[in-house]
Amino acid sequence: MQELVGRLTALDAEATETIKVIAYFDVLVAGHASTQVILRGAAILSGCAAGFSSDDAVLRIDASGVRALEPCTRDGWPSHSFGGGMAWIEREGSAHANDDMILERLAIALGIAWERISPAAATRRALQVIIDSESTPQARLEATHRLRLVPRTLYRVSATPEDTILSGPSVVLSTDFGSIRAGLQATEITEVVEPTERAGIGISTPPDALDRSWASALIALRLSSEREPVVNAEELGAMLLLADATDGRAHDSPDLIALEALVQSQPRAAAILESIADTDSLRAVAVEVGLHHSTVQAKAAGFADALGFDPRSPRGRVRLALALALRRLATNRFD
Amino acid sequence: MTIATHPAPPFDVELGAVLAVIGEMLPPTITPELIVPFRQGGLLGTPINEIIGDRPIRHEERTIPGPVGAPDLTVSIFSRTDHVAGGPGIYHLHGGGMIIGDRFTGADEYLAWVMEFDAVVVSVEYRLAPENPDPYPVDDSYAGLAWMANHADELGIDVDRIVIGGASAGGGLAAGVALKARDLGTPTLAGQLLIYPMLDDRNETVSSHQIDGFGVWDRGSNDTGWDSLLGDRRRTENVSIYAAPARATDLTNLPPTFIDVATAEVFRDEDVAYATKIWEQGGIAELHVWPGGFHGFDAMAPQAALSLEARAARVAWLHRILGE
Repeated sequence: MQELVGRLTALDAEATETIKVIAYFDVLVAGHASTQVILRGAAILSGCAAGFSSDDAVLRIDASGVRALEPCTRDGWPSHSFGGGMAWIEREGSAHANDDMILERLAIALGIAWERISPAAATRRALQVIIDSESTPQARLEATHRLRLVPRTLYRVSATPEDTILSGPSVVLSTDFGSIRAGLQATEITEVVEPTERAGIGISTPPDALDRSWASALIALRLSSEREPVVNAEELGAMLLLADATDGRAHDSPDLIALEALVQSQPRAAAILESIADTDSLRAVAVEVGLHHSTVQAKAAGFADALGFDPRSPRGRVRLALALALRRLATNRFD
Repeated sequence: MTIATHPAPPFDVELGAVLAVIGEMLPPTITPELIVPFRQGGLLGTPINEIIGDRPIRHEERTIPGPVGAPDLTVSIFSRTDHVAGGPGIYHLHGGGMIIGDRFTGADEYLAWVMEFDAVVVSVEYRLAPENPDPYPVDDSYAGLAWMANHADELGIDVDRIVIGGASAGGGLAAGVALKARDLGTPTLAGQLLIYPMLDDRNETVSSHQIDGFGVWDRGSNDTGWDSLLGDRRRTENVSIYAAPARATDLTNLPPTFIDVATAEVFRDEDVAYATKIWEQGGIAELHVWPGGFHGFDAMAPQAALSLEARAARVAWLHRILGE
């Protein structure tokens, strides 16, 4: 099969191939062409087979324009990603001059078409609607049906870094704290991710209140740490309210400023302070961080001076725990 | 004169995209000044060996006698390297508005027929207008067919299974040669395959007005082609039915006919009318009208969905006609 752009070159050496390729895919996008037609466009323009995979769907068109039923025989074709999927052209031998441009425009066109037509994309949009506190009740109801959620049944939303693999429906959202994947789970599912992966597990709510579950999941994720990678919002108690109330306003808290200065000057301080806030005795801290008891005692005294309060006292431990939480909220990012 | 009051049907989305690319390269209207540049252009000019590629097809060039008193003609003969004698023959006439193209124009498709049917394809280099106006193109074309039928044994074909075919001007010439063969009583044809044929010099149908200044082979291009072929005789009573088969009033006793055409091209209405006239006179014709195609759509983008279906319909018809 011949490549259309190559065949036309001889007629007009002045016109750039780039414009032809862009014009081709622009017309397809404007005409709401199907993914198959768009993919065949790459076959028409390049003269070789083309394919894409996305959300478990794979489609290949051979060089003659026919849908190929057999799977791709090998990997490593020139490819280009689009919104969660990958498009490729099966060029044997060295690349032709227009291959890069064809791939780029193919990926753009497929991304637009795929968002419009794929069931997985529709599910993503529904999830996005149902966790958005700004959504109207009507939109929320439609999303509930699309996601096949049962009224008055409890679900919850999880918040994880973008590249986390979840089993249920999920959508990646751009937040102030990076690209976060929101996942939807039945409330009885206890283990959303591996215990070592970062996750915030939202509170359980019925379908019409999942925006609150998402908000709590996001706070839980922001409160996660290496020490505690998975944080369950239902175990946060008043910390949820505190996080909400202080968002964006904690940076001038004297405790947070002092804690930040201490951690910057002593890299190991953070781990010891986390341990102090979370365990019953300095002896337990010493075991956990692998230092001698007397060393920990000396460090704790030094921390008291630096912080302006004594983390060894019951009241000081609460202040420390709050300061550590404020610091995680302020600094945790998931880019 | 009929003037179109509605715009042309829209192009198929996929073919519209192809046209967006071609539009960068090809002016919709071929004026007389563009004939020479088009003959030199590369769109139709892929070397035949490249088109054959690795297909097991033998290509033989022969010089054969032209019409009485006219120069010799060149024909290309294509057959499978494992050809079995006694199969079908396909006599091919290329397109190009009577003014451009050569016997290899359309080879991509007729070579597929060589493989599919073990057919022997003969494609003739008929003389082009305006240097060689009517009746030279159709007379050359008839001479080639007569030679093919007379050399059936040598070519390894069954003389009773010769189909004539071509696209565009080649379709018009095929229709004209079929009329001439009918009137002269020889050769006998098993079928005529008329791919969006150019049939009517008058250029007065609704579709000929709808496709004007855009698309492929628009109204102005059609004027250029027919003016080149017929000169001052165009649109007069002095045009033979062999040059412009739409002029024929008697379409009886023709072989089974296949006609296809697209909705967004000049030839739509004259081609539909030709099929209708054959039916009215008790003949056998199969008509396909492809929505949203432009002239020559399947040649420009053989991979497009509509192109695949159009070409498959021709193959299916050939299977029935050739009794495979």
